[in-house]
Amino acid sequence: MLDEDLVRFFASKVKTGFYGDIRLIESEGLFLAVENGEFKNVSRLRDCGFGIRLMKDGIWGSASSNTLSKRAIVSALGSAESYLKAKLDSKIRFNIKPESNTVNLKPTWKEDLRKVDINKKSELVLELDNAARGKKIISTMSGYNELISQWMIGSNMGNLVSFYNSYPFLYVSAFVKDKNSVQSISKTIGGNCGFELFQSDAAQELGAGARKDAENLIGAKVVKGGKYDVVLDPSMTGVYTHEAFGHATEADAVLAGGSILEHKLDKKVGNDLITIVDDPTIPGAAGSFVYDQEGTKAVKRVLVENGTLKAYLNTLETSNRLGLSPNGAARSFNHTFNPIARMSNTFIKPGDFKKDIIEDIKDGISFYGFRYGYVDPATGKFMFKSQCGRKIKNGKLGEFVRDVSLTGLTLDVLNKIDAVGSNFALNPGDCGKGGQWVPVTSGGPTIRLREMVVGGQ
Amino acid sequence: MDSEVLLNAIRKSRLNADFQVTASTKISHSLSLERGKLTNLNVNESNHIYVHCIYKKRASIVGAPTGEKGEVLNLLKKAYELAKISGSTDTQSHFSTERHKGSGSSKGTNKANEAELISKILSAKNAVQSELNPYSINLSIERSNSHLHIANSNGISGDWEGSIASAESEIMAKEGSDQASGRNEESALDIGGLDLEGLAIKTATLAKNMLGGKPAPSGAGEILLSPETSKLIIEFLVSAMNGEDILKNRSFLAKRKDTEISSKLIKLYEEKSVRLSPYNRSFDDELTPTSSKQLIKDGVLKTYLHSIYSAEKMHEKTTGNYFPSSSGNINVTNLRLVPGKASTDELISKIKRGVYLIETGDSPNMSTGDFSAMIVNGYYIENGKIMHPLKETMIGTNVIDLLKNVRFIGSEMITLDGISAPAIMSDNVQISGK
Repeated sequence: MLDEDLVRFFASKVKTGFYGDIRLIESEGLFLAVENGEFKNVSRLRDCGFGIRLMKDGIWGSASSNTLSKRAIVSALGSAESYLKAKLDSKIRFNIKPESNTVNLKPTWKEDLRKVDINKKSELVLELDNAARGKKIISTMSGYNELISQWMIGSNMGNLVSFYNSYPFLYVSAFVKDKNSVQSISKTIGGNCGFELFQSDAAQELGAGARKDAENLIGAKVVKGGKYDVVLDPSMTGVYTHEAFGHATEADAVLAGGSILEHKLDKKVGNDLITIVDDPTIPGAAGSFVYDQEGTKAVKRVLVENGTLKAYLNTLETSNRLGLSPNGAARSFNHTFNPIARMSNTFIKPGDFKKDIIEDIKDGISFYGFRYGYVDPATGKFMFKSQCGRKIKNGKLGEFVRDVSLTGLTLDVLNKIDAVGSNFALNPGDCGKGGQWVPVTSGGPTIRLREMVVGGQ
Repeated sequence: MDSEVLLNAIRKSRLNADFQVTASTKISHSLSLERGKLTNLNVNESNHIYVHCIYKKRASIVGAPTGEKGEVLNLLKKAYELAKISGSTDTQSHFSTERHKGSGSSKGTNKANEAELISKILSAKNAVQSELNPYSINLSIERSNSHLHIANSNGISGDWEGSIASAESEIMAKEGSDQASGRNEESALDIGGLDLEGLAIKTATLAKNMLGGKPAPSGAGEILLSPETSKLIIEFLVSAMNGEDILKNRSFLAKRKDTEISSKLIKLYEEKSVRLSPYNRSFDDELTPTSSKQLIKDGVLKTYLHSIYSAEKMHEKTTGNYFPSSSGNINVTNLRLVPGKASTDELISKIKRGVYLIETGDSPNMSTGDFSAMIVNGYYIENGKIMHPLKETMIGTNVIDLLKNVRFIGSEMITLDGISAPAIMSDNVQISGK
C-alpha cells in the first residue's frame, strides 16, 4: 500500500516559488506465454517508485527513484533542484494549477486479478492456444498478461488523488505457410477491469478467429502497388484515427511545432462525415481512466465534430500555454516518466451509411486487422500495414492478399473518406510515445476512401 | 552490490534448483529543448533484480526493485515456488558454464555534468538557428551510467559497468502550408563524443530540403539506401538471425546458413570490442562469453545468433548474443558492414531512375523478408540527378532481392547503436507513387 505521508512529506519540502508534484506507484505483473501448446515463459514482476517534478520560470526539473522513502525523496528533490539552480530562463511562461481534488478511488473491478489462481489463468491461455491450432496452422503463440498498479498523485498545491489500474490482456497469433511466405493473424482482448473480462467463450472465440483468418491467407498474393479505392475495417479505421490523426491532436506536439493541426482549432480539417472522439470514460475499456497522472479528472473529448477541429489533448502545462481548459489527457507509463499528452479510447463516430460499402468500387482493396504502422505528426505522412486484405472488383470481394499497406497524408485522407458505416468496434493495444507505452483502444466503423496509395510489390 | 553477493545468496539459499540472478542499476541525466527553449531536465535512478530459476526442466522468472533487506534470498524462493507450481517447460536445461575473461566494461571518463549537457544543447540550438533558422527545433540529450552484476548456480559470475551518451534532433521546416521534418540521432561513450551541433545542422538541412515533396512515378527502379536506412536493414538481418526464430521457422533466414543471401560485396562482422564504443561486452546477459565473428562473408550467411536455449535446441554452439530488450532477445555487441569506395554523390550519379531513401519507419517482414516501406524522407532521382523530394511514395522489394542486387557500397559511414553502416545501392525495387 502506498503511503500518503510520503506525498505530504514531499509537498512540505518544495521550496516557495516552485510548483512541485509527485507520483507514487506500486505495480505487479504476471506474464504467461505459450508457443505451440507449451509454456515458453512464466514470470512475475513487481515494481515501485516515485517520480517528482519541480517547475520554476518555465523549466521543469524532474527526478525518479524506485526506493519509496523520505530519504530518496530528499535526494530526488536535490537532483531536480540542481538543474533549476542554473537559473536558465526558458522564456516560456506558464502556470500549473491542478484541480483541488482529494480522492481515494477504490478498485471497481468485479474479479480481482490477484485473487484468481494462476492455474486458472494457465488453463485460459492453453485453451486459447489450442483453439488457434489446426491442420493448416504451422505454429501458434499465445499469452496472458496482467498488470495491476496503484497510483498516488499529489502536489504542493494540496491535491491528492489515488486510484488503481488493472489491465488483463489476452493475445494469440496463428501462423500459416505456403510456398511463398509465412503469414500470421493476431487477435487480442484487453481492458482496464478484472478477470470478469474473460467470461464465457472469449478464449475459444479469439483462438478460433485467429485460426480461421490465418487459413484464408494460404496462397494469398502480394498486391501490385498503386492507387486504389480502399475500405478499412474498424480496426484499421481505429489505427488511422489514432496514429495518423490522434497524435497530431496531442498538445505537446502542437506546441513543439510538430503537428499538422497547429493553428487549426475551430477550422475545417475534414468533411462533414467525420466526428472523432477520444473518450477515457468508457467503462472497462483498456484506454479508460478516471483521473490522469496529474490528478485531473478525465472527460470525454470531441476532437473533431462534423469535420471541424474542436479540441486538443491537454496536460496542465499545455492547456495553460494554449489558453485552454485541462481535459485530463496527461498520462505516464510509470514513475520514471513525466506525464505527457496522450490518447485514451479514440474512434471515428459511426455514420449512417447503410448500403453495401463496396458496391460501387470498381478496383479496390479492403483492409482487415492492423499489423503495424507509424506517422510523422509534423507532416501527416503515415503508413499502415494490415494483417490481410481482399481485392475488390466491380463491387465484389475477391481474393485475399498479404502484406498490404496504405500510405497518405493525414488531412488529405480525412477529405477522401466518402462513406462512414454504422457498425462500430474498439480494439485494445499499447501506444508508444517518447519511450512510454500506455494502454489504449482505437476503433470506429468501416469506412471507404477514394484514390489511396497502396503499397505492395 | 556485486556478483559475489549474488553468488553467496544462491549458495545460502540451499534450494534444489538452478538459478541465475541479475542485478542492474542505472542512473540517467537528460535534458530536452522544445521549439528552441529548454523545457525539462530529468534524473532517473533505477535498481532491479531478476531471478531466473530452472527446477526439474521447468522455468520461471521473478523481478523486483532492489532496496529491501534479504531481497535476493526472498526472490530466489519466489522464483523456485513459481517454477514448481507452473513453470514453463519449453526452456533451456542449464545456465552458462563457460568462463569469460574480463568484463569488457566501456565506461566514459566523466560523470554526468549538468553544465556540459546545458552548454551542448544550447550551442547546437544557437548554431542551427543562426545558420538555417528552421520553423521548430526540438533536441534532447542524455547520459546514463549502468552497472550489471550476474551470477549463476554454476559458480559463473560477471560484473560490467558502462556509460552511454545519446542525442536526438527533430527539426521542422515550413514554407506557407508546406511543412517538412527531419530526425537524426547519435550515440557515444560520453557527452564529449557527441557532435550535437553537427547533428542538428544535418537535420535542419534535411528538413529544409524536403519541402516541396511530390510522389515519384510508379514502376521499377533503383534504390540508394542512406547509411541510416542501411543500418535499419542490417539491424533487421541481425534480428532475423535469432536462433530461436530460425528454430521455430519464424525467420526468412531459416535453412539459409552457409548459403548466399546477398551480393559478394556484403561483408558483415560482429566485433566485441571497438575503441570508444559503449557496446563492448565480454559476456552476454546469460554469462556466455561474447565473440567477434563474421556474420556474412562474401554474401554467404555464416552463423545464426544464439541464446543458450536456441543453441541447445539446435545442437549448435552458443554465440554469446543473448541481450534481451523490448525488440527481442538477441542482439550483438558492435556490428560493422565493410564500406566501399564511392561517395554518396558518386552513387547518386550512377542511378538512371530510382529513389534515395533517407528515412523510413518500416522494417521488413521477419518471416518473408518482404519489405514494403513508406519513404518518410527521400529524393526521386533520374539520370544521376536529384529531381525532387518525395511524399506519398512507397517502395516494395524483398530483402534477399535487395541484398543480392547490391551494386555498390558507399564510403561514408554512420555509427549508431553500435552499428557502423555505409550507404548501399541496389536495383529492381517497385516504386509506388503517382
